[in-house]
Amino acid sequence: MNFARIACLALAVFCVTSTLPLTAAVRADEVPKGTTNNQGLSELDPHYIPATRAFRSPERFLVEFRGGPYSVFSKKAYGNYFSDDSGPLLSLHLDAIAYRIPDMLYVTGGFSFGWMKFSGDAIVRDTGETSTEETTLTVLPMMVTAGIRLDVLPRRLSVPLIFAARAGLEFARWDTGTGARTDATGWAVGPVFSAQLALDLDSFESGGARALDEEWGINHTYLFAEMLSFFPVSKSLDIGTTTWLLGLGFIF
Amino acid sequence: MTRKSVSLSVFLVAAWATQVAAQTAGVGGSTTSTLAGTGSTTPTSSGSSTTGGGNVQVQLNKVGNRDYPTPLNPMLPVGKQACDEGTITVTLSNLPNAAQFPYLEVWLQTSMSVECNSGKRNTAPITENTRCVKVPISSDDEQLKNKSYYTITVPLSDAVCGSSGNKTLYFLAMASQNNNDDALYYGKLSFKLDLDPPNAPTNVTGGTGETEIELSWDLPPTVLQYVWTLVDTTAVVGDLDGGTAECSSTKLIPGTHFDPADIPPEGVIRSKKTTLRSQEVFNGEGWGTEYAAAVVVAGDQAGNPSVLSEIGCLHVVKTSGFWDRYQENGGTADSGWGCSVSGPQGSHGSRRAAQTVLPAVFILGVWAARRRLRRRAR
Repeated sequence: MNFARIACLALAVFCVTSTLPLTAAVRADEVPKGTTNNQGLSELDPHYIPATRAFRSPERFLVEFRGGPYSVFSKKAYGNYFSDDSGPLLSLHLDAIAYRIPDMLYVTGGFSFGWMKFSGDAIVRDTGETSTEETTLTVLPMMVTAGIRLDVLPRRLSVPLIFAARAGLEFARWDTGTGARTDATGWAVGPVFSAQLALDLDSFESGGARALDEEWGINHTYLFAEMLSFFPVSKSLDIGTTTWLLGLGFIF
Repeated sequence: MTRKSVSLSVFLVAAWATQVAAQTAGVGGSTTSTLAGTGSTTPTSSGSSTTGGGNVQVQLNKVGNRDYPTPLNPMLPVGKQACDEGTITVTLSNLPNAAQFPYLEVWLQTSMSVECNSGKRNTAPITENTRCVKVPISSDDEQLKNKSYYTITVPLSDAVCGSSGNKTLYFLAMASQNNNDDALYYGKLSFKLDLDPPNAPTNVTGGTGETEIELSWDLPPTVLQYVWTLVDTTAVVGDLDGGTAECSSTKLIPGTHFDPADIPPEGVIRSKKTTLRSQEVFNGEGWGTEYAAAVVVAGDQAGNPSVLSEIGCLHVVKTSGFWDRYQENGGTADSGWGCSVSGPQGSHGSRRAAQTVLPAVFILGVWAARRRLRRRAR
């Protein structure tokens, strides 16, 4: 009977220890014997981070991943090829923080790189009927912008809304082709403007935000919606439009 | 022991067993496999080694005139083409001393109840060749020599190629040429012989275009390995039989046999794909024809080709796209910083732009990682 109980107990200990999360085991190893596991506590619950420990890392950059519909030539006679195609535009934006008033605003400068592709059925030249071949337009928009970002609401008034605006120049590399043939390539250049309304995620989970800063140096995280307007100069391919984008941004 | 402690023990044992099973499945669930008809196991990393049993290693090198493809797990079947070509080539190793065991015999197992290394393989009163059939090999191959390995060519006789199914060849190293002796040293080679071709693809449909003309089809619902497409650029406009088809061909006749080894007729473009697909795109610019007739052939894992499919007509026409319409409607994009470079271009701008931006993203990533490491170090 005793042997059975001991065997049962040993099996229970084995099962419990082997099913513990691996991360917990690692953390336990990091704490020297005879000390309190404050480090483990703080990692498990960010609210227990000691007050004396600085958790604000320097803020130097913003990076944004964004995407949204983008339509071209909507009111042009030659626009019917792509009339059913709305991109989408996918883009990555990187800003450097040039000036910062803490808990108030950022002044930024940076660039972005994006991609979008439109396609439609080519037509048979003699009959005007639709062929099974595709005609495409691929655009790689690159922007150089300066911007301002107001975060006073979430930092001082606990209202999780951020306003931002950018202005700059867009250089959009485009190429168009039919089937395997490239018909033309070029650049479309012009001013670009954007206005952004962002939802500050730190306001909803301040402990998680601090942990993100501690672990990765990411100071702030936000979701945003943005209105973007591009006005190519007259001799460029007129791929300009006003559209909206959604995205996720990080300040680090 | 109380009922409660028994229940707890059962629960814990079940939990432990579940955990061990999960770990096993996650780590090595598919690291070994059993070769068909042999009962032995071999690691998946064994390359083309096909040890099938016994103590002599047997490796299949060539099927017909072609190298046997690797990896072998699961073993690919041997097809009709190998039987047509008539031989397989194997390498034997781990052979005994040739001074004591100088004779090599090859036997085909025909009854699963008798192992051909046994002396019962051909013993009366059982009618000769009903349990195992001796496969004749050249007199030179019959004489074993003291070598670390030994490569022989085995003819695929009617006994082997008579029907589809699993085949097992025994390679016996014998002290005498007495067919009733047990073989102390032997090796087995098991493989699946597949003589049945797959059905031909259906619903073959050709598109209209100039530089990217699409041909699509439905593959038969069997396990396939290859797809061949054949395009006759000298097709006849209209149906030879007076039907409604847009085109027909005197060189590609639907339902006829296809031999991958044949040189295609003049004017026929043939391509072979080893990744299964249900469409292909052709550039018709240089064909000099308005219609091209295309057929599709499916090939199974053994390399057996189907017959030629029905014909799909590729209609070669001049097409116009966005840029033509843009210019016709007075589009004025030109060079400079609103520039266009008209005419065919070899490379796309997207590649150049990516070459510029990706290094910047990479440098940023490295910087962020180093910054994080420094922070952790502090």
